[in-house]
Amino acid sequence: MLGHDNNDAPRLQAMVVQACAEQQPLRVVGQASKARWLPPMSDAAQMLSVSEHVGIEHYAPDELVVTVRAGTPLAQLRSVLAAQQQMLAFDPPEFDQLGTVGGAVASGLAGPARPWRGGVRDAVLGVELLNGMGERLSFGGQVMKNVAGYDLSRLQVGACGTLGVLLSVSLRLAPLPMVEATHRTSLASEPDAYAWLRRFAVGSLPVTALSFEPSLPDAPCYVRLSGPAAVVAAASVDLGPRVSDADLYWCSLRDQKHEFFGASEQMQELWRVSVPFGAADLALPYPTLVEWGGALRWVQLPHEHDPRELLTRVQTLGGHARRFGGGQGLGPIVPAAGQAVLQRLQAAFDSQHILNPGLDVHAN
Amino acid sequence: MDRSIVLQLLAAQLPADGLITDAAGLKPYETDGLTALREVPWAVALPETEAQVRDLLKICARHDVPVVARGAGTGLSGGARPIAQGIVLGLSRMRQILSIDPVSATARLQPGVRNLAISEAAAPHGLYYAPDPSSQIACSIGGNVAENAGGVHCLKYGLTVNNVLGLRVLTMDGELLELGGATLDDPGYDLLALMCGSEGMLGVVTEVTVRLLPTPPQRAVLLVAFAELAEAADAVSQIINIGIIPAGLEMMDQLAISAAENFVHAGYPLDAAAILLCELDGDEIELAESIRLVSDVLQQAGATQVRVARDPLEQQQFWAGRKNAFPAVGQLGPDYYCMDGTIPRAALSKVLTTIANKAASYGLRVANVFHAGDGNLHPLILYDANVPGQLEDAEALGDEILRLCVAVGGTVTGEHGVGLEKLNPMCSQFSSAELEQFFRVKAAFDPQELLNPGKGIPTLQRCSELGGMHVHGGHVPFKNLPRF
Ligand SMILES: Cc1cc2nc3c(=O)[nH]c(=O)nc-3n(C[C@H](O)[C@H](O)[C@H](O)COP(=O)(O)OP(=O)(O)OC[C@H]3O[C@@H](n4cnc5c(N)ncnc54)[C@H](O)[C@@H]3O)c2cc1C
Repeated sequence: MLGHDNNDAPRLQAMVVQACAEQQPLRVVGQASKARWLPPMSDAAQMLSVSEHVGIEHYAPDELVVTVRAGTPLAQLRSVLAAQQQMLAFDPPEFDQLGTVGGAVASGLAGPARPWRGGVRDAVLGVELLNGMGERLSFGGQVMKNVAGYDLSRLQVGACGTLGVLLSVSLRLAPLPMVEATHRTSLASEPDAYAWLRRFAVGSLPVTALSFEPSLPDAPCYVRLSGPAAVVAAASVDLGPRVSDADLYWCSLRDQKHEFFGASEQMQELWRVSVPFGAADLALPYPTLVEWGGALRWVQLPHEHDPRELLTRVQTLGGHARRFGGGQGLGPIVPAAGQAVLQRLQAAFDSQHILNPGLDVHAN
Repeated sequence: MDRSIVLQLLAAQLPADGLITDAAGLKPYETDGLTALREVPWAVALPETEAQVRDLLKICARHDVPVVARGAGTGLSGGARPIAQGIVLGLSRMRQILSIDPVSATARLQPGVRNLAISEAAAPHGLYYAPDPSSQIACSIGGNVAENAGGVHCLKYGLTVNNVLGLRVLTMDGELLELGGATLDDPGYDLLALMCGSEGMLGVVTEVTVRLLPTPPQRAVLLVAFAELAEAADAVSQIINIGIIPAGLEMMDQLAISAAENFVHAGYPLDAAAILLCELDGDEIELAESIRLVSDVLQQAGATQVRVARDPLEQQQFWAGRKNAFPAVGQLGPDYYCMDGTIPRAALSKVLTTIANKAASYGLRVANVFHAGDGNLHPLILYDANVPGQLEDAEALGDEILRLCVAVGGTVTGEHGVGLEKLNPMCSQFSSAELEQFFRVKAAFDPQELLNPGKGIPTLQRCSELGGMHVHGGHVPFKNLPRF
């Protein structure tokens, strides 16, 4: 019932133990769905694929928690959860229809509902991992409240496998909303579209996704409402017509299938900009798509343009930007402080520096 | 290390009254909320700025002096108990609300700001700070971060870690880490999450940015009685199964009910085996809908009584019993010992029955207060410290309860932290390799081991000494270590 099940942990552990002894760099991958967002693999690195470590170890719908092996395809997990009227609140992307649970946690990317339903970190309750010395360790657990020891499970979120090979993760789930409706309205005549978005995003309406496409002629804005039927109906007054294939639309944003993302990679680079709620228009003449009620902005920057203009603007708005795709790495442009601490922390998990070396999650 | 030289150096960085060294002045700092554990520090430093904190840390690092950060001292696991020949870094004078930004719905706070003060300051903007530990009138946001504090509303709105957006943290050698900010995600390692719940052992929090939420337009509080504990536990799952996450969902057993009723006259039914308090929130339509759905489920689950509080006054009254449960139980006997395990909810009946049996075998009484929605159990063990052996019995029972929590798939501490108190039970939750991983993480931030040393993570030697008694995951722990 819960799909394909295979325990590949012993083999993975043996590989890491050996790699550690031989100081053999490893490239940890799930289904490689994010490969094109990562720097090219160096010849020296050996592939460590988690994709055969699959299956749902434990699912307790009553407790809103699932424990899943890292190689389990997201699509499979989603369908098992949906059968119980539950979901992953952070709604991770499935680029190219691929993606594993481990990859979703390691990359730390969340979907359109992020501001309202939480990010990856908010859902992670526990992990089982192999550190770079090949030790099999468990942190956190299957319960929401847990402060025993340092929170080394949430620390894995966004670490891109450099702090351990994820074997399984326990995730907090959310019930599927009783009713969901998406409405499309135009902000073309709105004097301050970003202020409008903010009012919706942090107001008390049951909003669970809010996008804006300022580069299209009628500047459409999509609002998704979720909750009991009466609540959704009451909140949708004045929000424009209801969109019929709304799930498709939100998935197209989440998985970057939307036309906006289809722009030729030869001509432009995709930038991901994260700003506080209520941050003003970037006011730059590049194609832009807005998610998260204004807090996330995608910008297509023509290759010949200097990104510093964008960076400066983003910094004045209190946010940060990073290049996304084009083989340039997931790393940010803004350097993080405390480099020495970060290096020691990485070494604390991986003394021989064999896990995804060359993948610098901090610097560009 | 020469105490007087260090104190001179510290005093030079602080305002005139910023360094306490006299016995009478040190007295209040000897202990935190776990008053059984006491220690007199060399001195208490009370900085007023981040720069002062940095300078103090640098001096202590240079002279190998241990430092214990302290917020309001309400912690329940000895996390802020001083170290002999060390200093206490009290953050109570850094209590400015630096900004409340209604546009981005965030607040920037110094670490000593009281939890409740945040919501009070945000209220004029129709906003509030969601995590609400019962100690919220006193405890500090810095202490909340260090303990990853929860509250009765964290089922729906999350713990501290889910509500903090940014931190400024100084490491023991005075290096500033700026983590997160007002944005929703941040590149790089999630040190922000790591700091939450790190019990002041990785760094000193000097500033916190939190997200604020819109104050719910309306709330409803339901008082629900059950003739069987197990029915109450099942009812919790059934509510969650229909897709409603209540703002709060708390459970109390018979002894806790009668204690609370005697103490605050909350209107609790004394003949119930268990009560649930269920808070729902939303606008008028949402609320009416949720009350209807939840009441139906509760009736089906066998509730003998479902009372919806008539007005805000009665809502407060219903909550007052729960919020005062600890002191109320305190009235039942001279002393009580508060546990803090978390268990998967499915194991609740089994765990409560086992606790009752174990308590009986010690001749002790246990009242149970339970954050039912998220499985966080607070058994309160009643004992009399003046009866020889009772404190030891209470501790032994507590230890058994925590190991039971681990055995059913839970954890030894849900929100109060390990501190000094739960070092032994930690040995039953983690393997030696896991403990060593914790120590390596600690060393990455504090190679000299000066920040709150000896707390949070038990040494391998300690666990190995206990090892004869404890069994982890069916295996004897630390097979390879010599027994002492
Ligand atoms: C009656 C009562 C009810 C309680 N109810 C709850 C509850 O419902 N939920 C809950 O979670 N807890 C509860 N607690 C426990 C306690 O209030 C929380 O753990 C709280 O977060 C501690 O805050 P504090 O400022 O008092 O910290 P302290 O007790 O001063 O310190 C706690 C720990 O944090 C560290 N610390 C403090 N400030 C800093 C800083 N700025 N930087 C780094 N480390 C720091 C200390 O070193 C120590 O390890 C309760 C306590 C009492 C007495």
